[in-house]
Amino acid sequence: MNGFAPFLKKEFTESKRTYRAAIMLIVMLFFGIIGPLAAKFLPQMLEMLMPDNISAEDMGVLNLFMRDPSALDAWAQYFNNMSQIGIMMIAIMFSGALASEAGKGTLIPLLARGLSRPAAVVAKFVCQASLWTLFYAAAAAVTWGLTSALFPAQGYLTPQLFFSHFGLWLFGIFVLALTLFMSAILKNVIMVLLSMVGSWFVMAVVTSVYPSSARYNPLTLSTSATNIAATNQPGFYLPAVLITAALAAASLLAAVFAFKKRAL
Amino acid sequence: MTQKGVILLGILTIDDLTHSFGKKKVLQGLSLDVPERSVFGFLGQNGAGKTTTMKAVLGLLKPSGGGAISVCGEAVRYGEVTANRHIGYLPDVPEFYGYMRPQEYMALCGAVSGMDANRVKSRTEELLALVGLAGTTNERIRGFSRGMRQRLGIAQALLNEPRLLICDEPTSALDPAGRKEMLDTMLAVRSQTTVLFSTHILADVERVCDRVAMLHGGKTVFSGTLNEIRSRRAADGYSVAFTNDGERDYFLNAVATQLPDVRVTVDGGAIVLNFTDGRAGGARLIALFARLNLVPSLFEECVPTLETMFMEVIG
Repeated sequence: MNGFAPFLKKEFTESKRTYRAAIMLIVMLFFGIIGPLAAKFLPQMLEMLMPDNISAEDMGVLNLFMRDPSALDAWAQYFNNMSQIGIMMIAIMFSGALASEAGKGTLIPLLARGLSRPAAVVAKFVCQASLWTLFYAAAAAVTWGLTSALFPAQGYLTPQLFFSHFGLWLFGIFVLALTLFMSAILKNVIMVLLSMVGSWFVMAVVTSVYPSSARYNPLTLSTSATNIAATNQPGFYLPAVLITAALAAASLLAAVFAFKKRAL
Repeated sequence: MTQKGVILLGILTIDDLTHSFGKKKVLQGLSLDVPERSVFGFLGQNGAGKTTTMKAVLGLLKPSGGGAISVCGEAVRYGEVTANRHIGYLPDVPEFYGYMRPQEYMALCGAVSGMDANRVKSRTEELLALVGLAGTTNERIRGFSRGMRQRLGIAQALLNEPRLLICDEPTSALDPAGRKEMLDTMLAVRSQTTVLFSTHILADVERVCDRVAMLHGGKTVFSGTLNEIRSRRAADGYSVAFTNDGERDYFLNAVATQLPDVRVTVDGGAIVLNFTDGRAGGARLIALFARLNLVPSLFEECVPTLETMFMEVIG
C-alpha cells in the first residue's frame, strides 16, 4: 500500500478542483431542502391552481393526493430523489475513476515511482465513500431539520427511518464499489456506465420476476426506502443489507485484483 | 556476466527479454547492457518494442516470454517497485493532472517516493529552474504546451536523483526549439545520472549519445559506443572526384582494368568505390593514382552514418 496517503490527498484535491465535490454537495443538499418543502407545500399549490368548476367525482380522486401531508411524505420525497438521481449522479461522476487514469496514462509516472496499485484503487474508494457519507449525512440532517420545523409533533425519528437511511447509504457504497470495479476492467467511461445500467437492469428484472426475492435484493434498499421506513419490521430486509455489504466488499476486492492485472 | 567469480553489472542489464502482444511477437530475446555514466541511445522504428522494453524495466509490464532485468544489481519483478527507486522515468507523452500546479505535482511525486518534504521543496525549485519552468509556479498544468509538459516530465523524473533516467522518445513530439532544450537538458544531467533514451531521430543520437543500441525484429542488432560502431564499418568505401570529365573517364577505365574487385557507383559528381578489404583497398587506390599520375580534387573515406546503418538494418 505504498503511497496511499499522498494519493488519497491527491484524490481529495481532485474532487475539489474538478468541482465534483461541490456539485455533489449542492445537488444532495438540494434534495435535502426540496423534500420537506415539496411535501408541505405541493398540496397547497395544487389546491390554488385547481379550477373552480370541478366535478364531485374528480374531487374524490384529487383528495386522494391531497390528504394532509405528513413527515413521512417529506422523507418519501427525499428517498425518491436520492435513490434515483443521487445514485445515478455518483455512478456517473466516478465512472472514470480508474478507466480514464489508465487510458490517459496519468498514473504511469506515479506507479513508476513506487505507488502500489492497490493503494491507488483503495484511496479512490476511500475518497468517494467519504464524500458520499459526509454529504449524505448533511442532506439527511437538512431534511430532518426542515421536516421537524414544518411538521412539528410528528414521530419522524423512528428506528425504521434509520434503517432506511442506512440501507440507502449502503446501497450507495455498493454502487461506488461496483463502479470502481467496472472502471478497473473496462476501457472507457461509456462502457462503465453501460455496465452499471446493465447491473441495475439485472437487479430490477430479478425483483419483478421473483417478487419474493425482494428482501434479498440490494436494489430494494434503494427503491423501497420509503416502504421500509413505513413498515413495522425493518428486520425483514436484513438479508438485503447483508448481501449488499458483502457485494460491496467483493466488488472492492475484485477492483483491486483486476487493476493489478491491468496492462498500463 | 561472471568474471573470476565477480558479478559485473551495468546500471541496467536486460537478458533474453521476450514479449508478445497476442500473436504479435514484439521482443524476441532482447539483451542490453547499459554501463554507468553513459548517455545511451535506444534506436528503433516505431513499433519496434522500445516502449515495451522500458515498461518491462519499470515493472509495469509482465514479459510474456520471460527474461531477466536488473537495475543497479536489483532484479526487476512485475508489479514490484523496489528497483524503481533508482529510476526516473519520462513517458513518451507525459500526462499530468491538469488541475495541479507544477510544484504541487512535484510534491505528490516526492511524497509517493517517500522523500522528505523539505528536500522535495528545494529539489523542485532547482529542477523547475533547470528545465526553464521556474516562472510558471502559479499556473495550472492544464495550460501547458507540449514542450512544457515534456520539461515538467523530466523535472519530475529527476526529482529523487535517480541513478538511471529513462526517457521514452523525449524529442519526437517537439518543435526544433523544444527539441534543442530537451537535448540540452539531457546533456546537463549526464554528470549526475545515466541516461537511457529511445528515439528514431538519428541526429539527436549523434548529438548527445556516447553509446547506442539498435532494436530490430525484437532483438538488439548492434550495440556499442558510437565510435566503435562507426569504426567497425569504417573505410569500406572511398569517394573521389576530378576537376574534369577527361580525367574522370581515364580513371574509370583504369579502375575497370586494374582494380576488378571494386564496386563502383557514380553518385553525381563523385565516384564511390567500395572495397572488400577496407583500408588495404584504400592503399591500392592511392597506388593507382600514383601510377596514373592523377590528382583527384576529392579523396574521402566514406564513414557510414547512423542513417545508412539504420536503413541497412531495416532493409
